[in-house]
Amino acid sequence: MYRNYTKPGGSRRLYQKICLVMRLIVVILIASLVQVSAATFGQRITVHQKNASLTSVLKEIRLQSGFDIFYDFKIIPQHQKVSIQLDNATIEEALNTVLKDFKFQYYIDGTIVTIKKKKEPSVLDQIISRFQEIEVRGKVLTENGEFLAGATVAIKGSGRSVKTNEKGDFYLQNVAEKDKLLISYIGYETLELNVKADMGSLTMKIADSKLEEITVNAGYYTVKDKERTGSISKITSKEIGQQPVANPLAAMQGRMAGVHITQSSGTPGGGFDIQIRGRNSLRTEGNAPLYIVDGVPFLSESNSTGDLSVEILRNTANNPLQLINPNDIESIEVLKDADATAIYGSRGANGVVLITTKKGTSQPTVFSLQSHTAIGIVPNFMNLMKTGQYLQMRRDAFSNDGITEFPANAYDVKGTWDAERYTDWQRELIGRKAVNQQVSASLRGGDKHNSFMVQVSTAKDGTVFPGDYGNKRKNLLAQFGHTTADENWKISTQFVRGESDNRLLGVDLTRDALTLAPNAPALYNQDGSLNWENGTWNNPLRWTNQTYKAKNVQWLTAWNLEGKITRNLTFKAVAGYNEMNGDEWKIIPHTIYNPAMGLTSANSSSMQGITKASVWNLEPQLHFEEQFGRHKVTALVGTTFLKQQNAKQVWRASNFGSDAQIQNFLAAKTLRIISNTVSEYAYQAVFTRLNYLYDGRFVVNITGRRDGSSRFGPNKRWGNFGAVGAAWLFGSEKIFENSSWLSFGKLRGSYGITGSDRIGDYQYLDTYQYSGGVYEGGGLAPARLYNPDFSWETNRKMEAAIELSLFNNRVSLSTAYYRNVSDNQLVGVPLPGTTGFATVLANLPAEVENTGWELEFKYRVLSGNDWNWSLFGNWSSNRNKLLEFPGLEASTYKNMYALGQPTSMIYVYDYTGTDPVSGAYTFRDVNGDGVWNAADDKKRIVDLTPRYSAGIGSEASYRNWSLDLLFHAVKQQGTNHALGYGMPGTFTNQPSDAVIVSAQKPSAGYNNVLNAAYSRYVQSQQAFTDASFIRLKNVTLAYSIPNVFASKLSGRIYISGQNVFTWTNYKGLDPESQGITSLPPLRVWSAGFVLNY
Amino acid sequence: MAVLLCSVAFTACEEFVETDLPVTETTADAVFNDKVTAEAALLENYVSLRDRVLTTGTIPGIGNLMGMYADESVNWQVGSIAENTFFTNALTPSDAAVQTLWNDSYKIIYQCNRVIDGVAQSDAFAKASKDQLTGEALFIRSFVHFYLLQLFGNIPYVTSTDYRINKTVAKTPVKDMYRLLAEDLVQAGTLLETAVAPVNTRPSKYAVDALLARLYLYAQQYDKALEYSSGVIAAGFSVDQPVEDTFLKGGKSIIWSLKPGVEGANTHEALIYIVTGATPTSRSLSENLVASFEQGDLRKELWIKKMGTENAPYYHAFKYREKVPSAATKEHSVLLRLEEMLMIRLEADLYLGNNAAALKGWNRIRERYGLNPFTELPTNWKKLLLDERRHEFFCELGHRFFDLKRTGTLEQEMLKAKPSWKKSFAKLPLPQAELMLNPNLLPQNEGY
Repeated sequence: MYRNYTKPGGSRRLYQKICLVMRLIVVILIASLVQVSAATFGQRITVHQKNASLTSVLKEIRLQSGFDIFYDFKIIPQHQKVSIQLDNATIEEALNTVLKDFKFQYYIDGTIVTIKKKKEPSVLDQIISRFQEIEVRGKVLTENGEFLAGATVAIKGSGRSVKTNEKGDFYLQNVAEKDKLLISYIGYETLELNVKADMGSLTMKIADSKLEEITVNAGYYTVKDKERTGSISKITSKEIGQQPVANPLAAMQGRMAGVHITQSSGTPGGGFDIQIRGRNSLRTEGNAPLYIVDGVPFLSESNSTGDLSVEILRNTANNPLQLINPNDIESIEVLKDADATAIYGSRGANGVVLITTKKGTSQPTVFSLQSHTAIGIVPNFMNLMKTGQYLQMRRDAFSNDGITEFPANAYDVKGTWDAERYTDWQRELIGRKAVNQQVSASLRGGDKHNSFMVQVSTAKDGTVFPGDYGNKRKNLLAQFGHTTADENWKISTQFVRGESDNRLLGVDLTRDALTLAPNAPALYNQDGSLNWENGTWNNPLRWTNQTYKAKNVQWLTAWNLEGKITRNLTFKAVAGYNEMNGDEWKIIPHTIYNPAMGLTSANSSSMQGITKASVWNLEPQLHFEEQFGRHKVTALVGTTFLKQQNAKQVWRASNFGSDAQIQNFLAAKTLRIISNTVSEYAYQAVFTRLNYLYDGRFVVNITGRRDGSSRFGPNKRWGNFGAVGAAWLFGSEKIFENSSWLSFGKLRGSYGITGSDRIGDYQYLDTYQYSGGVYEGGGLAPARLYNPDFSWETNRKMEAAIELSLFNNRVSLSTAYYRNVSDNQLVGVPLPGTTGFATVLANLPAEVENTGWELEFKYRVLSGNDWNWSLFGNWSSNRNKLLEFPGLEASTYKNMYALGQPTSMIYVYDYTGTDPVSGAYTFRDVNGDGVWNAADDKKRIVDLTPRYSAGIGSEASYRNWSLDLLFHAVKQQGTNHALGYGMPGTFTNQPSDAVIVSAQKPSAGYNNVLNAAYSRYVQSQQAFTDASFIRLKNVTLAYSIPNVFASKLSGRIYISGQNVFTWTNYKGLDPESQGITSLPPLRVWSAGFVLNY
Repeated sequence: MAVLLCSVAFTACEEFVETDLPVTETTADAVFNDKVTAEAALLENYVSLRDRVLTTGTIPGIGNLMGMYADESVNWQVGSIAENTFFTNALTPSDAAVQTLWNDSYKIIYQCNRVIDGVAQSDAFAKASKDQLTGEALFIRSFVHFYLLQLFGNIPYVTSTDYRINKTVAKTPVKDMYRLLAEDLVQAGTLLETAVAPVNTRPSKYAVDALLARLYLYAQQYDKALEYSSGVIAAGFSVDQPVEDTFLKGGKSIIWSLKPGVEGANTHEALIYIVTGATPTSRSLSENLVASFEQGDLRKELWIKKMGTENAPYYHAFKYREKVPSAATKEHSVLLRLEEMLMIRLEADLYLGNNAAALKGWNRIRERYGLNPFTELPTNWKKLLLDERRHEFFCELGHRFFDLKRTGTLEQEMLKAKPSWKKSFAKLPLPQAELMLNPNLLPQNEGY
C-alpha cells in the first residue's frame, strides 16, 4: 500500500530507493499522525467545494477526519473535477460521495484509507456481480488435525489475503461467490477452493510433490530434495501415522526401495531383520545399519541372550527399536549410497537410519490425546490332517515298515488315546485374540522463540497364546527449544525414553500347534489341572509354567546448540547420551516336566541376563553458506567424539529348595556364571562436506571422513572415507523451460568408500580368558591369535539415478542403479592348524558385490476441492555375489559359500526322485562313492536372496474422509512349509496333503533306508519352495472431525488394519516368517482417535 | 602455532581412541607378569589333554579312537561317526576327527610356546617358578609332538608363536624329530623337580625321563632307553600294590596322571569304557584281545569285565571302575606309569642281550599278574613281549597300535583282525585342509 502513495517516475533503481525512503517516512508519519489524531479523531467532515480537483478534496477530508489516505497519483484523472456539499459527514459518507463518479474503491483499516482503482468488470462479471457478495469463514487444519496458524488465505486474482489465527480460523468479507480461495502455507500443498460462506475445516496436506519446498535430513546437514545428490529414502509421521505397530521398523516395511525388512515373529518383543541393499559382510552381525536418533547413535544391538530367549522369540528378541514409540517419530530417513553415507565413514557401509522425533512448534499450545485399541489374530491356519486321515497314515506307516504290532509308545494309534478324539490345536494354542492398546497424550506448542513438546504413551501388546501375556510399553518424549531474541542462537534438547516389560510363556507354541497328533488328549483334567494323560504326552501348556521376562529401559537425550558467528558461518554442536539397561529372565520350574518323573524343585532352574550399555557422543561443527551470483557454496567441518560401554552378565541358578524363591539366587544350591563380559569402545572422527551449486542446475557434493576406532590396533586405527556425488538438474535447462510435460528432471550419480568396524571390541589385543575348564585352580586360554594389523572393512559404492517430475508435478518417477563392493572383509582368515588356531581375524581380500535397481513413483491422480487421490510405489531388486574368497576351498567356509554365488546361498543334496525298489527318496551321488555325506554330496545351490520386493500404495480422500492402502510384495524362495514336521508317518501331525505330495511312502521310523532318505530330503532343494507374496500391509479409513464444541476441538477417528490379506502360493502359516517354529506376523485391526484441543 | 595446535589436537585424538584394557580378559603381558595367571595359562593344557584332545579319555581321544583303529575295540554304533570311520579304517583326508586331532594338538603346542616365550620375557617371578613352568611347557610340547609323530609320520616341529611363521612350516624328518624332542626333554628334565609326590598330577623330572625312555625305545636306541627307564625305576615308584589299585588316585606306580576338574568326579575313561546292557550298544573289547590272555592272568580277571549273556557274552575294559561321581575323587587318568618303565627296561635288556636281567625283570612282571615265571627266555620273545605289552596297556593311549608300528609287525598282526587292512594305514592321512592352506606340508601320506 505504501507503493500507492509514491510518485510515479524515475528509473527502477531510483524507484526502489525512493520506495525505501518513503517507507521510513511513512512509518514516522503514521506515528506522528496517530499522535495528532488523538485530538481530531472522530471529527465530522464538512466540505463545500465546486469544480475542485479530487486531490484537493481528499486532502481536505484527510485534514478534517484525521484519517490518512493513500492512493496512487497515476490513477487520478487530472481533468475530472468534483463538486461537493458535505455537512457533518462520517468518513464513509464523505468518501462515498466524493468517489461516486470514479471507478475507485476504498478500504478503511484503522485510521488508514486506501483508495484503489476498481477492476474493469467484464460482461460476465457484471452479470455475476448481481449476486450478493458474501462473508467467508473457515478453519485450516493439518493432517494430524492440529490447527494451522499463519496460513495465507487469498482470494484468487484479487491480491486480497488474510492469515489464519492461532486456532486456524480465517474470516474474509466482501468475497464474490464466483471467487476462488487459495490457501497456502510453506511446506504444504496449496488448496484451491470455491468459496462458500462456511468453508468448514480444511485440511492441508504436506507437500511432498513440491520438490522445491521439501528438505531432507542427511544427518549432519539438510538438503533440498531437489538439489540432493545422494540416495535417501524418507517416511514421515504421516506414513507411520496410526498404523497399529509397536516397532518403527514395521511401519517402514514396504515403503522404501532398497530397504528390506522381515518380521520373523508375531510375538510381542520379537524382532525384525533389516537389510539395506543386501548383505555386505560375511559376518551376519556385520550387516546391521547405523541408527541415529536425533543426532545420537542409538544402541541398536539386541541385548538378549540366546539361551534365554530363543525358544519364545527365536533369534531376534528385544530389538531395541521397539523402545521407540512410532508415534514419537516425526520422520525416518534411510541413507543408502556413498554420497549419503560416506560422511558416516566407518559406520556407513550398511546404510544409515536417521530417526527424528517430534518437536515443539511455534504455534499456540495444543493438547492432543490419542488412543487405539487393536485386535490381532493369526491370519491363516494351515490345513492339517484330521484324526481319521492322520490315524490312517500312521497305520499305513507301520504296515509299510512291516510292523504288525504297534509298539508300546505309539499311543495315538495303539488305542491308548481316543481314536475318535479331535482337537484343532492351532485354534487351541495360537487361536486367541491378542489385544493391543495404546494411549498417548501430548502437549505441543511454543511461540516465536520457544517451542516445546511433551508426549507420554502407554501401550500393551497381547499375545494369541493361552494365558495373560504381553509386552507393556511406556514411552516419554520431551522436547524444548529456545531461540534468542536476536535469533542468532538456538538451543534445543530432546529426551526420549522407552521402557518395555515383556512377560511371555517359555516357548512359542506354534510348533506344538502344528505338530501335535489331532487325537492327542485334553489339555486339562476335570479339576482344572494340566492333564498329563498318565505320562503318555507332554502337555503343550507345560510351557505356560515356564516364564520368559524381559525388562528393558532405554533413554536418550540430545542437545543441540546452533549459533550464527557471522552472516554465513554457523556453529553447531550436538551432544547426546544413550543408555540401555536390560534384565532378562528365563524361569524353568520343575512343573514343566511330567509329574510322573517325580521331579522336585531340585530340578528347577532360572537364568538371568543383566546388561547395561551406554554411549555418549559430542559433535561440534562449523557450517558455511554463501551465494556468489550464480554460485552457491555450502561447507561444513565437524568432529565426533564417542565412547561406548557394554557390560553383560548371565547367571544360571538351579537346584532350589522351593520354587517359591526361584528368582532368588540365594535359594539356589548351584549357581553358575555363564558369561561375564565388559567392553569399551572409543571412536573419534573428523568429517567434512563441500557442496557447490551452480545456477540451480549443477551440484557437486564432496564428503569425507577420517575415523579412528579403538577396535583396531594402534597402527591401524585411522581410516579415510569419502565420496563424490553430482547432480544435473536438466529440467531447469532452457530447452525444458516451457515444457508442458517435464516439470523437473535430475540426473545424479555418486561414488565413494565407506567402511565398517562392526567387529567387536578388543579383537586386536593379545588376551587370555578363562576357558571354563578347571585344573588345579583354573585354565587361562589365549582368546585368539594375536593380530594387531587388521583394519577397516571397506565398501565401495557406486550409484547412478534419474529423477523426473512430469505434467506439472503430477507424476514423479525415480530410478537408481547401484553397485556396492565390500572388500577387505573382516573375517577369520583360514589358517593351517599348525598355527594353533583355525583362523586369525584379519582383512581377507574376499569381495562381496551387491548390485541392484530401485524404482520409485508417485502419481497424483486427482486433486481437487473434495477429491484427492494419489498412488505411490517402489520396487527394488538386489543381487548379491561372492566375487572372491582366497583359500575358500581349504577353509571352514567351503560348505557355506561358493564363488559367483550369493552369500545367502545354501548347499543342499540334489534330489533326483524315488527309488522304484525301496520307495526311498534318491539323491545325486556327486562323487560317486556310493554314500551320501554332507561334505561331498551337498553340492546343489539354493539361493535365498529375495529376487525383488515392492510396495504400492494409494491415498485417497473425499472431504473429511480418507482411505489409505499399502500393498507389500516380495518375490523369494523360502523354507518349505512341510519342513519341520518330521517324516510323514511318524508321531506328528502333517499337512493334510503330506502323503499325497510325498513321493516316499509313509514310515513310522522303523525303516532305516527311508529314515536316511528323509533326513537327506530335508537337506535337499525340496526343503525350499516359492515363498513370494503380495500383502495388503495396511489399510486405514479415517474421518477428520470438523469443528466441534465451538471450534476449539478437532480431531480424527480411524480404523486401521495391518497384514489384512496375503496373496501367496506358500502353503505354510506365513511366507514372511516361514517355517513352523515361530508365530507369524498377526493380522491386526485397530480403531482409534486423535483429539486436539 | 598452527602446527603446534594440530599436533596437540592429533595427540589428543590418538589418546581418545585408546580404551582401558578389558576387565573380563587379561592381556598376555599381564598374564605373564603374575605367577598365578602364568601358571593358569600352563594349566589350560592339562584341561585340554584331559577333556578335549589326544590323550583325553573322552570319545575323540586316541585311547578310544586308535583302539578302534587297531584291534582292541569293536564299534557297535552305525552312521558316519568318527568311531565307525576309525573302526572300519575308512579315514579320508577330509575326515573331521583327524582334522580335530591335528588342530587341537597344535593348539596345545601353541599354548606351550606362548608359556615358554611369556615366562622367558617376564621378570615378575622367581627362577624356581620360571623353571617349573618352562619345564612343564617344554615337556607337554614334546609329549604332544611325540604322539603326532606316531600318528602322522613326518610332521612340522613347531616352536614359534608367530602365525606368520607357523602357517608355512615344513615337515621335520623323523630322525631330526627324535633328536629335537630328546633335546627339549633333556632341557625340561633339568628344570623340573625330582620329587616323587604321592599324587603326581603335574609332570616331574621323572615324567620327563619316562618319556625319554619311551622315545629312545621307539627310536631303537636301547642303551638310552635302558638308562632312562632304570633311572625312573630307581626313583621310588612302586608296583607293590594290588593290581586293581593301579589306576586309583595316589597309585604307587603312577608317574603322571590327570585329575578330574571337580572333586568327586572320576575319569572320562570309566564313562566311555564301562558299558551296560544285554547287548553292546557303543563299544566292547575285541574277542581277539580277550582270547589272547593266558589262563589266570590277573589283568584279564581284574581289568576286563564280562557282560551280556552266557551264550552271547561281550567284554568291556574295567581298568577304570568309577563311572559315577563319588564323595571324594577315586581315580585319575593315568598317562605314565612305572609298569611301562619295567617293560621298556625289559625290552632294552632283551635287545641289548642282557638276558639274565631280562629274564629276572620279565618274571617279576609275570609273577605279579599271577602267571608262571619263565625258566628261560623264550625264543619267540619278540612276539610274547608284544603280547605282554598288549595285555598291560590295552585301551590306554593307543599303545597297541604304536607298539605294532614301531616293531614292524603292524600289517601282519592287523590282517588277522581286519582282512581289509592296508600297509598305508600305518599313518593317518594329513588333513586335506591343512595341505591346501600350507603346501609346504605336501606330499600327502602315501595311500590317501
